[in-house]
Amino acid sequence: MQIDDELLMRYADGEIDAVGRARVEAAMLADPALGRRVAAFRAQRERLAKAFAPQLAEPVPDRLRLIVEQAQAASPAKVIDLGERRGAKRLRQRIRSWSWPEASAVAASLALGVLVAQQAGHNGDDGLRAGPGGLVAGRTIAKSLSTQLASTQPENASVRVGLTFENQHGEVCRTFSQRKAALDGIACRSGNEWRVDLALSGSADASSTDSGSVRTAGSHLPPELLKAVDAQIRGEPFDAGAEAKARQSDWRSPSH
Amino acid sequence: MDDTKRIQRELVELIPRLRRYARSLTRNVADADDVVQVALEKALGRLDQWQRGTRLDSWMFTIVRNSWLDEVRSRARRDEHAPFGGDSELVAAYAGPAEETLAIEEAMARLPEEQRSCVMLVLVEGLSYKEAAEVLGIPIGTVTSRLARGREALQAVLGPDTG
Repeated sequence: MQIDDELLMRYADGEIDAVGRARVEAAMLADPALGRRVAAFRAQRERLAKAFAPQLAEPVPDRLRLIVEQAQAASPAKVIDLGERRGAKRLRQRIRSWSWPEASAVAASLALGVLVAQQAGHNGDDGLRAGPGGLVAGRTIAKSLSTQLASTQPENASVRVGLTFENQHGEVCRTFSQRKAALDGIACRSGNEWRVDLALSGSADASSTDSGSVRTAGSHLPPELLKAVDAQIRGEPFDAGAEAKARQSDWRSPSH
Repeated sequence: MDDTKRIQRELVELIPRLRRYARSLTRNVADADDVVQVALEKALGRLDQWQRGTRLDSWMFTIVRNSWLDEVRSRARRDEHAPFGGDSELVAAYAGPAEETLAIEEAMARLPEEQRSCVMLVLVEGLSYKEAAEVLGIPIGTVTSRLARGREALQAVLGPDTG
């Protein structure tokens, strides 16, 4: 295994597993320069922490403190246990502990349940539908995936697009969340369809129950979705420019 | 009720760290305090959305950053001539900042926000890569590469750190 700078940084930050740690330590024994690099990363962390520490000692302006303290006096803020959401939460925790392909398959079949339930009610435009090679986005979600840009989409869009990225197969993929069905997922452009590689139902509850800005800028995607993106992504998520360019080429990958 | 009180006490204790992170975003003390104020108001209005057992500081960093992004967007919409970070009020507001601190702040100010936030959250605030990824809404691998680039740029400006 090659010992690159990023690996040394992760080692210095304690962000590496036991196997990687052993490898780095073996390499450091052989090459003292690597050890100096690790020491430099640690010194840099200390230096920054020290430079920013004095700010914590500054007095807090009253107006900020009072916002919190007076809220206490006025009306006790709602503290609601997530009882009714517990089922969905437990489910998510289970999915989280699975490996990615397994979680994907199970979650997809869950989403299929959502889909079937929806189609019993309406015409199915809203959810996902079965395509020849698996689940694909229904008309509403597909339209959002094809047309919306994360940077310009309306705050209250019924389907919001989060991250856009290229996957390991060179396809352009986008995360989406549909509020009404509390459905989050990853869809990749495949032919003229958006193939749904991961769908999670019930995960949108915790952070998007209202249209508030806690959930803006693609932030607060469900952790299991981010984990799946992590497993699939090649390079970095698209920035606004790359996203707009990808739309122009109908979401065909730039590298293909 | 006791639970609410406890959370509110924790929020008050967090304010200095929230201000510090907000300053790294706005690069201006007054703007940073406004952002923190908005974030606290939002948080108090939706304490039910904070999931017990998760880090309150991470949740608040998320809200601070999103409040700032909202403000940047709405300023851009209003086309105001007062973009964030346009002046050097920040450094002046500190009580006798050391030369070292000034140099570091200037170097930090040159980083793109996404790298700066990674550096602040991981190196200054002590979040793990995973926690920072959740605050920023990006994959862990992206945190790693942004952090690496940010650290490299800082080193280039500030000189090598010898242990």
